[in-house]
Amino acid sequence: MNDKFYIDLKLIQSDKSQWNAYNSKGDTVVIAGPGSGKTRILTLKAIKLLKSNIHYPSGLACISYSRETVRELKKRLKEYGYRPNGNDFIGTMHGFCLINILQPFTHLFPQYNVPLPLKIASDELSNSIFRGVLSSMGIKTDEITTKQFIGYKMNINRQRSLSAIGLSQVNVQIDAFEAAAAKEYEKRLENAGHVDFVGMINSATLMIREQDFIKTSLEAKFPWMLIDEYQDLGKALHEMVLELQAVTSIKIFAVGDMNQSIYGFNGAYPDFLEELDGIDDFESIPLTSNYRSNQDIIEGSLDMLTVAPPRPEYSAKKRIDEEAEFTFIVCESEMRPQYEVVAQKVIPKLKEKGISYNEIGILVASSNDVVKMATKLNENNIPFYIVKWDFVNSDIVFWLQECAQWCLDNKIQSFDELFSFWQLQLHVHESERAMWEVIRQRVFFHKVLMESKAKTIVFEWLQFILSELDLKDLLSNSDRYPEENDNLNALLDEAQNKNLKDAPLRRFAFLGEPEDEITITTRHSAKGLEFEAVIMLGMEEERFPYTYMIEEGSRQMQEAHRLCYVSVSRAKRECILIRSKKHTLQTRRGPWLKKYQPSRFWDTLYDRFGSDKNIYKSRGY
Amino acid sequence: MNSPYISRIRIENFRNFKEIDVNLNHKQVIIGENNVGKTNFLRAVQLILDRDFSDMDRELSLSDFHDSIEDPKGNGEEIKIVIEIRNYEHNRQLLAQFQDAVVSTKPPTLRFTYKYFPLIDENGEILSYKYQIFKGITEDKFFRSEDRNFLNIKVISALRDVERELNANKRSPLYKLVKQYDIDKEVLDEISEAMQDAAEDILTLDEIKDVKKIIGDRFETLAGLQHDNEINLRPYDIDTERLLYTIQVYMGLKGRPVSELSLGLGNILYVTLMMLLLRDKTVPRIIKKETYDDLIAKEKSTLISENYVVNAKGNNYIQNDNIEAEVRNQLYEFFDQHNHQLHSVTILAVEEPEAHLHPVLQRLIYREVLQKSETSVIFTTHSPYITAVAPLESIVHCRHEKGESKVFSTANLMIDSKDKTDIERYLDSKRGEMYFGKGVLLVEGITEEYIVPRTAELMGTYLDDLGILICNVHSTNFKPYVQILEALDIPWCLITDGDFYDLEIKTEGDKEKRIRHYHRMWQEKESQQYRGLELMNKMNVDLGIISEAEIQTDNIQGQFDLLEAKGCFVGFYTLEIDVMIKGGDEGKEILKKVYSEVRPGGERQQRNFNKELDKDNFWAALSKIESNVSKGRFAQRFTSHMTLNSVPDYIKSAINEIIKKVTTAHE
Repeated sequence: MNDKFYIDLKLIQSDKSQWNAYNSKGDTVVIAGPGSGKTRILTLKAIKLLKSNIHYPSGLACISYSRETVRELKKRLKEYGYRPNGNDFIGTMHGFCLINILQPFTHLFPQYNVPLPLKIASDELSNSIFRGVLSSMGIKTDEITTKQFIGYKMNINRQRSLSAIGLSQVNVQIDAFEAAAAKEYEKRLENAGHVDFVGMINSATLMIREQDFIKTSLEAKFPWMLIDEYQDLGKALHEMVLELQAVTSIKIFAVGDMNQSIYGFNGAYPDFLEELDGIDDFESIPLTSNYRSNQDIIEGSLDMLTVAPPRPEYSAKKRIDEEAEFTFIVCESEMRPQYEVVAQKVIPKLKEKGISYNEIGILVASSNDVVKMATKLNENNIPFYIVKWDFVNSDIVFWLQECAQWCLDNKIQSFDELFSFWQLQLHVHESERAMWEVIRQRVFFHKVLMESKAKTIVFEWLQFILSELDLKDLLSNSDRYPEENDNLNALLDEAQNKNLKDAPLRRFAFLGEPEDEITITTRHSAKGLEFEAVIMLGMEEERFPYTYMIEEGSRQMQEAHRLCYVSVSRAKRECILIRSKKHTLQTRRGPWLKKYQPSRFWDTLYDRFGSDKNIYKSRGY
Repeated sequence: MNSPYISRIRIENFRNFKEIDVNLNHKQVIIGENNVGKTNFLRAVQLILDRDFSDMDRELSLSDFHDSIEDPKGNGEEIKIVIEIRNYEHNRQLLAQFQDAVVSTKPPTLRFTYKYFPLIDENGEILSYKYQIFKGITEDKFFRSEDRNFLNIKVISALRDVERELNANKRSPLYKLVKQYDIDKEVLDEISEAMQDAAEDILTLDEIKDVKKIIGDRFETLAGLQHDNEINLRPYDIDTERLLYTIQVYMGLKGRPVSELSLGLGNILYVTLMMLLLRDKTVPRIIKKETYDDLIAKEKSTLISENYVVNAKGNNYIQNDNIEAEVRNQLYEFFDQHNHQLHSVTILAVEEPEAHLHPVLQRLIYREVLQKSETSVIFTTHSPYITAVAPLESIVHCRHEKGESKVFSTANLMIDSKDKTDIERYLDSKRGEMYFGKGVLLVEGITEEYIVPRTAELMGTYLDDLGILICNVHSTNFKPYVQILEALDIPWCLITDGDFYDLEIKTEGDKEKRIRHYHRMWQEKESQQYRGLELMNKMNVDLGIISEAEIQTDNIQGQFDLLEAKGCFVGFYTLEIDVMIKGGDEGKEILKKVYSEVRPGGERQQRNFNKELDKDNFWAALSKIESNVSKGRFAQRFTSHMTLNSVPDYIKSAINEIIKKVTTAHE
C-alpha cells in the first residue's frame, strides 16, 4: 500500500456503490457499466485482500480474460505497491487451469486421460483432425471454402466449451451435429496424445467438480478468487465458480457486464453472469456511475442495445453537462476512401481541435482492416499503435519484450525473472544447455543480453537474440508452444518488412503501451480502451451488423448490438461514423459493386444526434 | 489432532545404506546395534528437513557414498533420499504450501527428494557434484528453505549438554516457549522499569556510594583532561527482551536451579520443553482481547466464548482446561481458518532419550510420549524399557546384512486387535527384549524355556553370547510374533509340541463328528495325526511362507521336513513326554532323581512316580509332575542334571538352525 493506493481509495470513497464493492465481505458480483472504474475497484480490492484477508502461504487468485487484460491488472497492482508473492496467481483462465489444476493434479488422477507432459496440439494437427472429423460426418472437406471450414471449427469449439457441465441451470442449445462432431474431435485428439486449450479448461473444470481433494487444495491455497471480465470467460469458468462457491469456503469477487459480452461465438454467453447475479448467496452491486463519457455518449451507446427493459440508467459523473459531438461521413465506394478520409482529414481536424493522438481510437471490423488503416497512416506520417498485430502476443513474445525493456532500462525488469523464464524453456525443451551449471547459463544469458544492447533497431535486435539463444531451434517441435516458430517468423516479418520496419527497439519493448500514437483496433479488441474521440469505420448495414444467415433477435444479432454498444461507449466526447455507399462483393459470377444502406446503428445515432450540419460527403468534409 | 509424520523413507547409496525403502508411523522407535546407521538414518531426513543445517551441511561429498560403490564419481553415481509425509491434510497452511509435492490423494501424501548428482556437460564429462531438493514427482519444483518454515525436523542428538541448552538464553527451549505467546511489549516494559527502579535502591547504600567515589577519584587522576569521564554505577541492565530469558526453571520446594539437577531430570525437563515447543499451535492457549473481540464480531461463533475465559486484568482470554476431544477438533478447524500466524510443523527426533534415566522414569515418560503426544516423534534407542512401551507398529530395526545396513519396520503389520493387545502386554512384561535379539527362538512353554538354553550349553554354545533370545509365548499362538520378527527381518526359529492324537470318527445321523483323543501313545501301523503339525502348516500358509500346494498331505515326514526348512521345529507328543521317551533307561534315572529333589511328599510319592515311569506310563508320570510339583519347577531342576541324551532331536536341530541363521547373517 502506497500513496497512490490511498489517493485512489479516497476517490472511490465518494461513490457509494464502488465503496460497497470494495468493502464487500462475502461472495460478490459487481455489474460494472462502461467507464465505471471496475479495474480500479478490482485492483484496490486485491490489494486490500492481500493485506488483511489472505495470509501466507495462501495467495490471491485473480483471473482475467486475456494476456493483455492480465498485463494491465499486473501493472495497476504494481502501481499500488504490490510485490508478487510466489503463491499468488494472476493470469488467464488457461494459465489457472494449467498451473493450479493440470500440472499439480493430472498425475494423481489418470482417469481424466490428460497426457503428461502436456502436449498442446498445433493448429496444423488440430485442423487435420477437424478435417477428418468433418469428412467422417459426411462433409466433403475439399469442396468447402476456408471460411466455411473456420466456421465449422468455431461452432464445434463453441459446442465443446459449452459442454462443461455442473450446477448451472442456463439452458444451452445443443446442435446435434456439432455435439457429435465435438465428441469425435475430442476422441481423436486424445488418441493423438494431445490437448488443446478448450480441452484443458474442460478437463480442469471436470476435475475440480469431481475431486474433493482438488477443491480442498484450492480452498487452502486461495481464500479469495477475483474474476475480471466474467462475461467473456465462458461456461467452464462459470461452472468452476459455482462449484467452488457452493462447496468450499472460497469467496468469489466477480466483475463483469452482460451488455459488454461480445465473445458469444466462443461460447461466452452473457447468461452466465446473469445467472451468477441472480444467486442469493451473492451480493449484487451495480456500478452505474460513468466516469468516462458525457451523458450524450452514454445514451447514444445504450440506444445500440436490444436489451429487455428497464433500460440501464447510467449517469455521467465526470463530464457533467458536456454535449457529445457526432459526425457522419459518407464515402462513395469501397473501404479505401474511408481510410483516406481518416488519415487526410479527420485526424488533422481532431489534432487542430487540440486532441492528442493517444486520445483518438480508430475502430475497424477486422485485423485485415487494421493493417490497411495502419499502412495509410504510415503513408501520412501519423504515429499509430496497434492493439492486435499479425503476430500473437505469446508468452515468448511477452518475454522478448521484457528482455528488450531490460536492455533499455535494467530497473524496470528483473534479470532473475527473465533468466528463469529462459532456463525453464531450456528444461522444458530439453536443450543441451539445460545441463550446464546454472551459473554458466546465467553468465551466458547475461552476455547475450548485454551484447544485444548494441542493436538498436527492432529487427536487428530480434535477429541477434534469436540466433544467439538458438531460440528457433529450441522451439522447433515444441510441445508447449507448437505454433511459436511460425509466430516468431510473423514477428520478424513485421520487424523486417512491415509496421515495425526500422523501428527503434523502444517501440517493440513498449508495444503494449501507446505513447503519443493513434490506436487502431478491431471493435472486439477495443474493449477496455477509452478515447476522447472514436472513429468507427465500415458502418454499413449487412456488414455491421453482419446479417447473412443471421435472424433478427438471435443470439448473434444481439451480440452485434452489444459490440456496437462497446464501440460507442469507448468515446468520452466525440464519435465519428464513416460508411461507403457501395462495396464490391465477390460472387460466383464475378465481382459485383453492390449498394449498401447505412447501418441500423448509424440510423439510430443519426436520429438522435444527426442533422444536415454534421453529415458530410467524404470529399466535402 | 495428530500432526503430520514421515510415512516412508527411501535411501540410495547414502553412507551405511545401499538401498532401503521403509514405511514408518506417527511414532517411531529405531533400534539396532551400534554403528549400524541409526544416526545416519536421521541425517538423511535432516538433509531435507532440518532448519539448522547449513547449505554446507547439505552439500555431501564423495565420501558419503556407500562403501560398496567404487569410484562413484567416475561412474556418475547418485545419492538419493526420498521422504513421504502423511496426515497433513487438516492443516491448511501445509495444503497451500505443498501442492506441488502431492504424489497421492488416498491418503494424501507429500514427497520430497534429495538428490546428490553429477553435473554433466554436453560432452558427457562430469564437471562437479551438486545437490538439489525437489517436491513431488518431477524434478522442476524445488524444495526451498522457506518450505522448512512450514515443515521441519528437530533432532536432539545423543551427545547433548542439557544444562547448557537450558541456560542458553535465546536458544533455550524455555525462552522459545515463552516467546510463542507474543506477550504485550508494554506490559514487559512496565515490569522492566519497575525492576530497574527497585534495583536502583542499591545505589543509595552508603557502601556503594563510597565505592563509586573512590573509583571516580582514581579514574580522574589517570584520565587527566579527558572530558565526560564521570563514572556511574548501575545494577544489572534489565532490558525488556532479556527479561524473558532470565526466566529459568527451578525444581522442587527448595528451588534447585538446573545446574544442580541430576542429568536424568535435566534430560526429562529438556525433552518436556521440546515437546511443548513443538506442539501444534493452531489453537492458541491465550487470545488477546482485541483478537478475541474481532473474532467474536466477525464470526459470531459461540465456540470461543464457550472455551475461553477472560483473565483478572481483562486483557487476555485463557483457554479452559479439559476441553473434550470433539470440541477440540472444532476449535482446530475454526482456528485453522482464522489463526493466520505461521505455525510450523516440527517432527521431533531424539537420539537415545534414555540417557541417564532410571528405568522406571523411562517407562513412565515414554509411555506418555509414545502413546499420547500429538507430535510425531522418532527415537533411536538401546533401551528395552522404551521399546517395551512402544506401540507395536512403531518399531524400526536397523541391521547389518552382507556389508550394508538394512532397515525394517513394523509400520505395515496386519495383526488383529486381540492378538495385538496380547503381544503388546507380552512385550511390555518382557521389557521388549524380543526386538533386541540377533535371533529369536520362539517356544510355547516354560519347560522349553529352561531346557533349550541348557541344551545349547551342553552342545557347546551359550545362546546369550550369540544374542539369541528364547521367547516363551505361553501358547501355540506364534503367528503375531512371527509376523513381527519377519517384518523386522530378525532371524527366528520356533519349537512347538507335536501333540499327537488318535482320531475317532463318529457318525450321528448324517453328520460326521471328529473326536481327537490326546494323551494316547501311538502304536506302530496306526495312522498319525499331529495337532502341532496342523497348526504350524496353517500359520505358515496364512503368512504366505509356504503354499498349500507344497504340503504333502499323504507324507507326514515330508510335512515335518518342510516345516523344519522354514524354521518350525515340531515335536511328537509334548516336550516332557518326548524327553521321557528319548532318554531311555538312563534318562528315566535322571528324571527319578529330579523328582526326588523337588517332590513335596514322602517316599511313597516317589515310588508311585518311579512305577509309572518304569511301566512307560509317561502320561501318568507327567500328570504326577503337574499335580505334585509343576512343570516349571521340574524343568528348572531338570536342567541341572540333564544330558544331551534326553534331548529330542528336533530341539537340537532347532538350536543348530538358529545358530546357523544368526552367524551367517553376521558374516
